[in-house]
Amino acid sequence: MLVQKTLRGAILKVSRRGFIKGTVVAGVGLSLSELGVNVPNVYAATKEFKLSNSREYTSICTFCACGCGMVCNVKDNKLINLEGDPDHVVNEGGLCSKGASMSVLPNSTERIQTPLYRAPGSDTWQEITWQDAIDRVANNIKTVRDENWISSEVMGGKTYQVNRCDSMGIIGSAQVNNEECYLMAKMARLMGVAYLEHQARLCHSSTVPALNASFGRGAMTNSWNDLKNAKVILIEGSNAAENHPMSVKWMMRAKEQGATIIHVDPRFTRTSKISDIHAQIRPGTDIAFLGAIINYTLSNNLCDEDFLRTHTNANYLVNKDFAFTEGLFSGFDETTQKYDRATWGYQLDSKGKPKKTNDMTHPDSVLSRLKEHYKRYDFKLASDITGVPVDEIKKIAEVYVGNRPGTIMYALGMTQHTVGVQNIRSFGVLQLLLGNVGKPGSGINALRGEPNVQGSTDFALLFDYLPGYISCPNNNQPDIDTWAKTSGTFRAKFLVNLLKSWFGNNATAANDYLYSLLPKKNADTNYSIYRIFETATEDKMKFLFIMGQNPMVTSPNLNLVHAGLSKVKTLVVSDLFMTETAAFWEKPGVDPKSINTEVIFLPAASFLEKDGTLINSSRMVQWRYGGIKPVGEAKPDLEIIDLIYTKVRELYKDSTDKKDDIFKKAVWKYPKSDMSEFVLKEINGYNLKTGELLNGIGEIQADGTTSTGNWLYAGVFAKGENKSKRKDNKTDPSGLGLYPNFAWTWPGNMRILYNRASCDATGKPYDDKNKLIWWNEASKKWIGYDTPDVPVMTDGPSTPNGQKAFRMNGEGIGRLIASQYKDPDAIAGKFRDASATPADGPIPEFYEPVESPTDNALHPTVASNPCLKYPRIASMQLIGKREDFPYVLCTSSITEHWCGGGVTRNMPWLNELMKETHIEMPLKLAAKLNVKNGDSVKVTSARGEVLVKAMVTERIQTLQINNEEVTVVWMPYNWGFKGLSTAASTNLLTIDAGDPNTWIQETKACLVNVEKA
Amino acid sequence: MNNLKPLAAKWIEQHPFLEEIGATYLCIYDVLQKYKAPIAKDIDWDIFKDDIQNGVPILRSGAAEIVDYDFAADIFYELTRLAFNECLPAEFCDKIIVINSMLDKNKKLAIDILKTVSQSDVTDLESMIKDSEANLGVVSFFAWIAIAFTIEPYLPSLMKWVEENNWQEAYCPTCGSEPVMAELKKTKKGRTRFLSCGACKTKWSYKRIGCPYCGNTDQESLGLIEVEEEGDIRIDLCDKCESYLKTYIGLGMGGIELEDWSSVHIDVICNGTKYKKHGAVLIAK
Repeated sequence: MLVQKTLRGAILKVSRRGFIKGTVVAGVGLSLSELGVNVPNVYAATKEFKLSNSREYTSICTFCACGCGMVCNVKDNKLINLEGDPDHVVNEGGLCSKGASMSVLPNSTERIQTPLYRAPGSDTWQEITWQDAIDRVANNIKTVRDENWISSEVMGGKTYQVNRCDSMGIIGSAQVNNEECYLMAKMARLMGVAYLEHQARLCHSSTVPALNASFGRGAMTNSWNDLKNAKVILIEGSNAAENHPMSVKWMMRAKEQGATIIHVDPRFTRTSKISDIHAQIRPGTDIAFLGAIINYTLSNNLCDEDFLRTHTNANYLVNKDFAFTEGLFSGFDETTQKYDRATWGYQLDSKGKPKKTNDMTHPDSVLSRLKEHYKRYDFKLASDITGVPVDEIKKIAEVYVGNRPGTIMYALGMTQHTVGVQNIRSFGVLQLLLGNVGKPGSGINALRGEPNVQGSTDFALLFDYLPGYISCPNNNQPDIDTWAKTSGTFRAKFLVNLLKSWFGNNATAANDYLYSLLPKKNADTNYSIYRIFETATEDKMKFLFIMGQNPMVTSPNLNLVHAGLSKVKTLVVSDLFMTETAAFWEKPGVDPKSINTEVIFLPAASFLEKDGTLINSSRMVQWRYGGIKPVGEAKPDLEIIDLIYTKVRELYKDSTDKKDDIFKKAVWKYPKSDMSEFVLKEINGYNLKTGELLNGIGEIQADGTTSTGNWLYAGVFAKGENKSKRKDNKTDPSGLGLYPNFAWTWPGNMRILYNRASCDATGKPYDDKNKLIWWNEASKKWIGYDTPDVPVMTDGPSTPNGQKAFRMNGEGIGRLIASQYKDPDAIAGKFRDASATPADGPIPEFYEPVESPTDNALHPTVASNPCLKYPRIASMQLIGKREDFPYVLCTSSITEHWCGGGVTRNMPWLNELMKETHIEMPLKLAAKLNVKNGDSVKVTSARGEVLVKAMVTERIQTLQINNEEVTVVWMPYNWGFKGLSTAASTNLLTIDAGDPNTWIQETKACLVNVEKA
Repeated sequence: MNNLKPLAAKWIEQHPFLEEIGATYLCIYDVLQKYKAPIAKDIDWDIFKDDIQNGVPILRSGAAEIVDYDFAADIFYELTRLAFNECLPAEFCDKIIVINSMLDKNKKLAIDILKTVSQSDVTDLESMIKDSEANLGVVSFFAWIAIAFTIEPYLPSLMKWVEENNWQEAYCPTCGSEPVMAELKKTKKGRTRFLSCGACKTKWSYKRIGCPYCGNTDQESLGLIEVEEEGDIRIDLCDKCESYLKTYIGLGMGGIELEDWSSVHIDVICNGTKYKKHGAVLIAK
């Protein structure tokens, strides 16, 4: 209540509500009649006025995953203006050059407006109707599915039903909305597709298992806005200023408060320009660099000891048989190139729980074993490997370790390596040691590069998951019970709910929720995107549907990709513009007559022409309004998927074949209007007893009485409100930039993951001035400005649940060593959840890239990742030697163009800003080759060659590596032979050797030769 | 406000059809031009913090007084002397002369009226002027001009402070009135929408898309009308509460563009529609 004095001195108590209600303001302006004014001229003038209707609507940008808001103005179904949304909490009215150029997108004459067909051997496209297009797609699916169906497989002498077709592949998209990703995943699995993939495999697939192994979840821990709360920011393997431009806004806020920015990258870029310290590092050596900082922290006792004891496994006892010798961890099998991870666990008590010690210096403690492992990584060794001078590494270590909270930002410079997972695991180790997790201004910020790549990953357009990071069943897991023996009872609940979403009332406990109908992948098979093209070259892949991705530019080793596409029987591409992938048969130098692939092009609506949600890098689910109709006959991908699935189902309607039962059992009935919101509700989930939408994850039941298409999204429609539409950009009681009523974040609207770790063991915030959550003894609850990241809100610090800051790990704590561990479930007698352990080691270890200019200084006999299996096809995956290819090539993207350039190279403004590809090389190399700026040079690798212009620069310097001079060159990868700007594709050069955990390719480090052309 | 006369003259030059109504306002601005803007006292706006964070406008807060009522009363009285100026319509002058008589040699009444108006206490105001039979609307009109003139020097710092304190209501943070116009203005946060108070002339930022009168944010039920001949002003429509809001989107004309009368032609356009105006009524339905 407020005290308000009236004129006469009386005291009134006026509540805000009372004020509003009691305010009856007399019109402050007078009417014309009161003014005694006649305005006949005004009336006369307005009769001649020409009026037109328009409207404004908001959308979210379609490039990097900053998730910037846009305001669009549309008139007569034409976009007439597009600008940054001033009310948006991330971009605050700003847009980068790419985002601002999107006003051109719906008006571009280059957009494909009708379905197209390219007959086998033809050199032209012909326009076809949508009905014809969908009929062709559906008939092809049916034919390939019927002719290549695998109903059962033998594994370990036992026959299992597998319901799969390995001759169909679907490549989804991080470009499309969540609802589209969800339906694509649903359609693919219902049709028996195992080869379901998308961009995330190529960009951040190593992030998920790495962060998962450390913290329990695979997502960016904090948010764009939260960068402002950091005292030190380490950007490694990212050119954030160019590729995530809005992040700079928040970094600069931190800098205004005195924060120091450190940039570690192979080039001096625009990001380096805004940084206080820049270190030029050799691509592929980050583990050695970070290893030196970790060693500095450990050997100087600079760890956050309270944090280590409370929130990590530092004082757990490691299995005595665990060892690391000469580049190999215990359990390595040279024949299979795999580890037996039995020795990577803890010493367990009789209940299967890890043994702990009060003395962290105990020789078996995780902390001691970690110290032992990292003691080899001194500054000198790191300098020899990375090329960063000793003094610089030392300075960075001192600054980063000496200022807390510190946050880390990274992108593909860390992920795209054969040690991608371990690169990011190094961040996990460092941040846990420093107590830099779960607090404002801390964390590990994976800068996701596509607008909805978090969503497309959440919805599992990846062969190894079902929506919600539920492991995709293997052929030797015939029922949920068996599946749960590997994946845990905790996740089995979510699988049941997914099956209820997909099969409705047909899914019952008695029929194991129709789990048996799901496709089961072969446990020993790699179904990644690389294998899609490789199996195509082997004539195994017959039908390929690619939606919103351009692998003929973005995939590595493009000659292999082209060879694969040339062998596919039917290729279906859904996109906005003609892409190099759809038109692969038009590639310069190729005779179309020699290619018998039929191609169907489906024109897709752009993001401005459809509604739905997407989720940005910091897990913020936001609604895009569809303010204009799609151009020509283009259709939203949601509608395209629906048309294809319903047509395929129709083709099977009379089938009595058991393999086709799934079409009769699955629930697939979506309305034509407001379809996105309908699908979002299915994703959110329902209480099937009441028919009401679920309000949160806590309401999900294991007994079939609830459904959810993705348990992480339960609550996005809480209380019937589409929370992705919320726009309150002012309410922020924390003052930390949480904005809890702006859109919605998973899980449960949590803004900062693991925020329990911002409190000590008693539940008291470590930093009372910057607190997120705390234990309230009076109400016996966890409360705060953010959604507390605790298993049960009422389980206080004195309970086991009250000490699980990393509750999604089996142990419930942060994992310095990512040990093998399954949390026993006392009730069911099974294990509840398993912690993730990388295939190539529980602790990061430095290995050289597959193509390296030097020897491994730590263990020359184990130079590169020992678990790496490459080449997979010897004839097409050659490994270059340093004698022939002496320079290290690093590739990445630029501000003006994005990924495969399918959209941006059709934007005239952007082509004016950056018209062609080029190679950036140091002065010293240019002098050696007698090359000047703008000269044409030939770049060759073991896989291909390109002609490009030279950009001679001081932004890259030659490095001293193991006492030898090493030269790094750099190229953008955004070009191809279609679009308004054409140039050679850099990925003709790059290598497709992959990380053994996720197969992500090593596009950041391969060897090339450069010659003056 | 004492610089509005030349701006108004320029505006009328560009919009000759506004000459009739403009003449009336030119007379009013002429009066204001005689006065020097008061010097703003140093005010620690934080004394209003609790109130503003609870949605109570500055003039309704008991925390401090920012209106110089003595000075405002002088202006108020001087405005009523326009009754003797031949430039105003006779019908209007008839109403003003009643007020002038009421206030003549009664400054205390003028001050009391101003204080009552600033509180938007209509009941008290009615009882104050009942005996004189003065027109409530005209009293309120002139009173707000006088009040606005005296608080104008405070507005820059006040508006800045209000922004820092995240005012997110649709009514004026200074006086509590509904906005009479809006403006899209380039700021560090892109083109931000500012609502404009027709009473005390305060401007405050408000969400870019959404109806300030009913809070509707459903984009399907929000529309715009653009006028080819007046490209700098658009009409924001809300189908939910059937209201309209004139929004200036040009580069600025020194403030005259947000004076309600200067876009009366836009009101004329809306007059034939289902949409209603809030905050002030220039055109009677």
